[in-house]
Amino acid sequence: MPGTIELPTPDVDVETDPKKVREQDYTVIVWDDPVNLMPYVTHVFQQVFGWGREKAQRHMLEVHEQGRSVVVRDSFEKAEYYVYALQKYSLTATLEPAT
Amino acid sequence: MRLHASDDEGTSWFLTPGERNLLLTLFSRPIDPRQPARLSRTSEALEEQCQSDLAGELEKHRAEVRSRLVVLLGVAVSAQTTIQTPTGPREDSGWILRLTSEDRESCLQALNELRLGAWEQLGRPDPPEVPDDLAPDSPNILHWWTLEIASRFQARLISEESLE
Repeated sequence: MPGTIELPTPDVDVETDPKKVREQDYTVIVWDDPVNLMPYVTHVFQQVFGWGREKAQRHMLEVHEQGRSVVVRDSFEKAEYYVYALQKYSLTATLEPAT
Repeated sequence: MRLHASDDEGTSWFLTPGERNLLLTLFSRPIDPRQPARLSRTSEALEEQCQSDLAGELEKHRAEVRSRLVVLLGVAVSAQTTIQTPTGPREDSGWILRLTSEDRESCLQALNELRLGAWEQLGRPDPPEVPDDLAPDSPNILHWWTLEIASRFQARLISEESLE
C-alpha cells in the first residue's frame, strides 16, 4: 500500500513487553514451606478456588510431598488475582509464565 | 474458643475472658516486619513490574484486617454458657464473638500472619517446634508463644468447620 510505512517488529524479550506479559498464559504455583499447617493450606484452597475438600487436600499433599503444586493456569489478570488472594493468607504463591 | 452457633450469615464463638484478652493482645500488637512476598521466582520482569504494588496492597490489607478484628472483639457480647465437663455441667462466663464468613477468613489470615511473623523473627526454624532447651529468659519466648497461641486459635477455627 503506497504511503504506508511498515514498522519494524521490536526485538524485545517477551516478558519485558507489558502487552505480551498480559497476553501469555500464566501459572500460579504454591510452594512448600515448613510453617503453614496442612489443614490450613487445605482450607485456603477450598476458600480461594471453591474446591471440594478432596481436591484441596490433593493439591495440599502435592505441595507437601513434591515441594510445589500448580493450582491455576490462566490469563495474567486472573493469575495475579489468585496469587494476591493466596498471599493474603500468607501462603507462598508465585506467578510464573506458562511454558 | 468454641463454636456457639452457626447460621447462613456466619458463626458465633464463645470466648473465655482470657481468650478474648489474648486475641486483643495479639491483634493490637505492631505487625512484625516480614520479608516481602515474591511475585515470581522465574521472571525478573514480573517482579519489577508488580512487586512493589503487591507488597503495598498486602501491608494495607493486613493492617485493615487487624483493625477490624480488634473492633469485633471490642463489641463482643458478654454471655454465660453451660459446658459439659467430666465432672458434670459447669457454668462459664465469657464473650460471644460474632463473625461473618468473611470475618472468619480475616481472622484466619491475621492469625497466620502472626504465626509467620513470629517464625521469621525466630530465623525460620525448620521444623518450627519449640526447642527443648529454650531458656525461660530467652528473647525468643514471645515469638514461640505467639506461634503456639496463634496456631491453637487457627486450628480451632478450622476444626469447627465440620460441625457447621
